[in-house]
Amino acid sequence: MRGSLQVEAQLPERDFDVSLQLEPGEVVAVLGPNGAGKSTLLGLIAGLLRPDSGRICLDGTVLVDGRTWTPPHARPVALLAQQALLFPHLTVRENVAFGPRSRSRDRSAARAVADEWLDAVDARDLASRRPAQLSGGQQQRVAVARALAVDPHLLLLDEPMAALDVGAAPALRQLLRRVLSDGRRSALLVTHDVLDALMLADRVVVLESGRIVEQGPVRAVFSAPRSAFTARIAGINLLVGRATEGGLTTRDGGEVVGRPDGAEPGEPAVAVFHPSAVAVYRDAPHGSPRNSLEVVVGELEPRGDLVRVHATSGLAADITLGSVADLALSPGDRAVFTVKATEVRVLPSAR
Amino acid sequence: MMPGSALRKPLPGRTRRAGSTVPVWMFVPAVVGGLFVLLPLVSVLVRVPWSHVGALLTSESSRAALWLSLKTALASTVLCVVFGVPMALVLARSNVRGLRVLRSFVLLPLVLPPVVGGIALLYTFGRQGLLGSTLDVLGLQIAFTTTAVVLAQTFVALPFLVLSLEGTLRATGQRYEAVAATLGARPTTVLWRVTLPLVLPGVLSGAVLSFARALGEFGATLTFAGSLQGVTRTLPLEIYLQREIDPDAAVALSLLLVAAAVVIVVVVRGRAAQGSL
Repeated sequence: MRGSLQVEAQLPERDFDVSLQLEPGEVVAVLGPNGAGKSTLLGLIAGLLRPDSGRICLDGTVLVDGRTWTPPHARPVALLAQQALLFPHLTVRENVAFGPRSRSRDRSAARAVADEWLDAVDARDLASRRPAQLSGGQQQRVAVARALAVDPHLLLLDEPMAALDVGAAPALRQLLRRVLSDGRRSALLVTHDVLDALMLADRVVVLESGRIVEQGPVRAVFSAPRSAFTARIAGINLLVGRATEGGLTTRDGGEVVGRPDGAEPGEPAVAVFHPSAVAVYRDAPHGSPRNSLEVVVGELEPRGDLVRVHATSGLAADITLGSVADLALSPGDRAVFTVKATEVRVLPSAR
Repeated sequence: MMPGSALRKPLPGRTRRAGSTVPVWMFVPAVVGGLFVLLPLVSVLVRVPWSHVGALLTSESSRAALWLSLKTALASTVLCVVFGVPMALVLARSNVRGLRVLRSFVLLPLVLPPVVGGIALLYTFGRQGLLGSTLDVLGLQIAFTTTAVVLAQTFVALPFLVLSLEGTLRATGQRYEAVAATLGARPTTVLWRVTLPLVLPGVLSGAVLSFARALGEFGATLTFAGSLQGVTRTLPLEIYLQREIDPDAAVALSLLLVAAAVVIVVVVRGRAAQGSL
């Protein structure tokens, strides 16, 4: 297992002061609003930025401190950015072989490594094409192969899904999930998307104004957000359990019906659905093809002309003011949350 | 109706060209200016003695000038690439102190009258010059030799390559270079395998521009290298000389340079259009 990372870096000019540790093989999602310092963090670790003070250490080797400076090319770190940035004058295979060749392997060995990784990302058939002939999703897949072909101890991902169209993002997410779970390296994943964190990361770190404001296991952070940013992006219902053929079995044995989205039956999964997809009843409606979840009403939070009904279990429902009045809901009441099976996505969760 | 769609409709009674914001009267000075550039070129073509242009171009002095010009302009272009590419890289990519001042000096030959450049070269490499006296001791004489022609042409042509390439480098940005570095490529590897291939169009168009400038160089060459047939008398110098002896020969040789200029403009424009994609 590789990829043990200790970062402690200050960059007063950008009001950046972060201290962060990664265990070998761990995948950590970095979330935060724009300008929070997420890309600065990656730049410092990759060696594209130099901290004013601090110390970055990877697998026992000091990359940077007061006396040491390791240039980017000598760091066992690879970077995958929002844009694939494939070298336009090289073929796909030459792009992937670029790293191995630069690290002084001979040409045929580098090609062999490239083909291996092109196989791993299902892009072998694109090997002799030029980047300009590929779609955005294909380019990013090749970029994943190129980054992994140098066998980095640490993979930095800077919003790798953000520039892809809606159709291509899930496929890349699946690919990353596959390659990140082999434990051969740790990874830092900067993202805006809660789904990325849920599916790919073991732990989440929330950055705001150049400081870490929150960190912990993904589900813990999202189920009990402690910063405004986390609360806002975590505005999503989440049930933990194991995937089944048509949904998910929760930890306490409840059955949830939903659309499987990459989760194989039996594996750890989460069911996610938006509060706006939830309807609230006093008693369970009969004969409806919905998921019914018995809850105890906690807080009622006005949000414009809607009210968010928080259940004590952490689930939430957005309903109109009128409905709240009709149901005469108040904290402590028993109620039933229902949600259509088509509104529930069952996603594989991180290891 | 959308407010935008009304703007796209041609308004009756006004100019039919929708979206054109150029006042009509502006076309008058524009056309005059265009004619001012085109007419002299046409005048040369009209004066070309087409019946014996072949003979004029193959006369001994013409061939000597032509061959010398090609040789020296190519040599200058090579020197421009060899020194100009590193200069452009340093200007575009490094953060050495005083870079702005340095850039201004590099661009000086662009605005300096070539005859002044020739004088400056003479006081550098001439017998009494700054370096010339040292070179003289070593038995090297540069002024009034073919080498002087190459130096004079390189002096005036270098900024063209540096400027053109620096612009390309800045437009290309450093993102690919950063990616290459994180993939383990050392700076030299990045240069050969990423930076230079990416800016190759800029190098080529810069080289073509330098070649054109070298080919047309007159003032600095005459001052620093003189006008000796087969040694320092390049095409422009030959044209100037023949103008008094044999105007037909001068026109025929001018035709050659006009043709070369047209080809170069087409090549560079083509490159520029490709690069902007």
